[in-house]
Amino acid sequence: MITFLTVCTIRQLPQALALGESLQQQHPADAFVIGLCDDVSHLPTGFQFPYPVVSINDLSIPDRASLSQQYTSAEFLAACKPLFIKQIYKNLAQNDWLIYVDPSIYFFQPLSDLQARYAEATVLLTPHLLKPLTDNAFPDEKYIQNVGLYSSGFLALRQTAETTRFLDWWSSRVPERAFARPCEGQYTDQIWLVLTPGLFEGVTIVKQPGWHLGLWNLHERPTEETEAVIFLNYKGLVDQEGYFQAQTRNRLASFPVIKNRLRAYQNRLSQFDQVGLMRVLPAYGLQPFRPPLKGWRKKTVTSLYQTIEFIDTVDIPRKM
Amino acid sequence: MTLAFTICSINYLAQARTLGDSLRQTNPDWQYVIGLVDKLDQANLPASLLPDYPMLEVDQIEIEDFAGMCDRYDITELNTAVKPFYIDYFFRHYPDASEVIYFDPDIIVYQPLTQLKQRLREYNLVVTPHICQPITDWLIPNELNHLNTGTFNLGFIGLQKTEESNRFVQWWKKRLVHECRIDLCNGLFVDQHWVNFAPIYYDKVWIEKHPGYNAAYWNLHERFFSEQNGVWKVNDSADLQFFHYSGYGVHKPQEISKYQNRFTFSDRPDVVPLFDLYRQRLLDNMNETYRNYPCYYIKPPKTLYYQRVRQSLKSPINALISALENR
Repeated sequence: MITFLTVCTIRQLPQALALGESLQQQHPADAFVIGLCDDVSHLPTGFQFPYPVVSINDLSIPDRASLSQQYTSAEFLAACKPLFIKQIYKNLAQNDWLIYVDPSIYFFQPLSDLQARYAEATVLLTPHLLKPLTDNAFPDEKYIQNVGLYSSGFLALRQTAETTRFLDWWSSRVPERAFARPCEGQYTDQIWLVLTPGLFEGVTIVKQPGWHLGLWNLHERPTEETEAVIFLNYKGLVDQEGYFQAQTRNRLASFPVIKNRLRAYQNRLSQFDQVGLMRVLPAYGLQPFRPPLKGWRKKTVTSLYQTIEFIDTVDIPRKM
Repeated sequence: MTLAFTICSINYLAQARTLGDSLRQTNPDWQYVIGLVDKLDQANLPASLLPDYPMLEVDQIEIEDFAGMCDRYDITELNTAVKPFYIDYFFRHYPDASEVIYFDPDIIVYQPLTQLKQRLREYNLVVTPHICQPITDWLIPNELNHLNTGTFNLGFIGLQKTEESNRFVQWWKKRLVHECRIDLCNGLFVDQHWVNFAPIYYDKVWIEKHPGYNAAYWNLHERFFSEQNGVWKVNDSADLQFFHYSGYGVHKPQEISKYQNRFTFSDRPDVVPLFDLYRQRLLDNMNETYRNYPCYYIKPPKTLYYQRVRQSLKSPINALISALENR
């Protein structure tokens, strides 16, 4: 038995509903729960959840107001995510799976490998990249190190004592330390996962190329084979979420099958948004979000920084 | 044949000899080579200071852009950057070496490493995480520090000579030609942070959690030491395989390591004999003489003149940057 969970704000609910629809098709016997990390009173009138919901009010967050004050909305959601996961996890029976997925994920095939291949695993991680990068596009591997090698957009947990130990550890660190601050070793809930293969037994790195396609890895994934894609994350493709909006490696035009899928997905989103969910601003995470620089602006700033570095370090003898 | 090697400059030869002596005692059938980031013909060591182990100077291992690396890197960066180049050299020139194992010079091996050899029959790489148990305080080093500098400690890595290991080494080499720097804000910490990618990119990478491997200041919170019938045990059960005396100095014998502030010897009397032993071995191996040899590859510190001119050139550029960033 699998319980799928997503955590989202009101404006991401159409994505969550599309995800739910894909799960009904691919995993009809399994459960799906939505974690709502937003103010329930901001829901448009008449909106009904077609799935069970856990609300932020059901969690014990020590100081919601101050967390909301210190974080951007994406950081705030990341800070709460482990607590939502814990809330569902505590009701699982032994060996049941809980699978967290971003609302922007859509399933095209069932996770049939789960029992066959990973029956002994405790935690499944999906790396952003499976192969070394060979070009000079953005992001490079250094950037991936800063944001975390394993995507926290997908996390599969099997109910075991060791998994509980992982979840206790993660959920005690993340809420207070979910800033996007690479200089301090922090990057939302995600970077913490880098330590887990050392810290916990049974943490398993999933190397199946059909799992977790996204803007950041289309170049190394089976994008054109319809059967091969298990699930795809539309984060950054359909919205301004995530850490890869400024990426320059993958142009949608080069991936016609993905492009068609995106168009179909966007249609589903508008079907699910007839009450104006996407116009509701997130209630929590009050710090303004500064979108990353892109295009000419980014290029200019990069070369200006190089100029500064040159001025700082160029050797000029005292007497010419 | 198993080949173990370390990398250091002449000023660290007491450490490298201590490591070599411990290997000779515990793993007598292994070959041991000192990779020397220095120049013997410049140093003119008297015969009495020449170690009993073969030394391989860094300018002899066919590093393509060695001059460029010397120019770009400071001495710490250079010493760490050449690690995969040595491995590559051993893979190519020591056809009998079926396993290549790197140790930092400040390590003592305490046991025959038979388990490690066993692992390397099945796995391409063996790496050791800094921590196998969470750290519950925020002293130094804490979990955030490990996130910034790398999950695995690269004072040790074991490689079976296979095509997959060689792919890893070639990738690592490529990165370290230009990016073996310390720049935490940009995801860089010498050779070590890169190896976070190893278990993702490459198959059969074993993450060794045996508490007797690579014991050091960063994992003392999860490891307690005792000597039982002449054998050092960790947590009363496992045999201590090798201890890494990172950041310890003969001249500061009251400090466990200059890189940490969590433990003192009075908190941790269990490790005192391990450090006393190390201190004595270093002194016996002429640490006081070796330490005075300056490394050939150390560059004189650069003095940057005309600071005021530089400032005034930079100020309009900085203004422009901030205008573009805060649109």
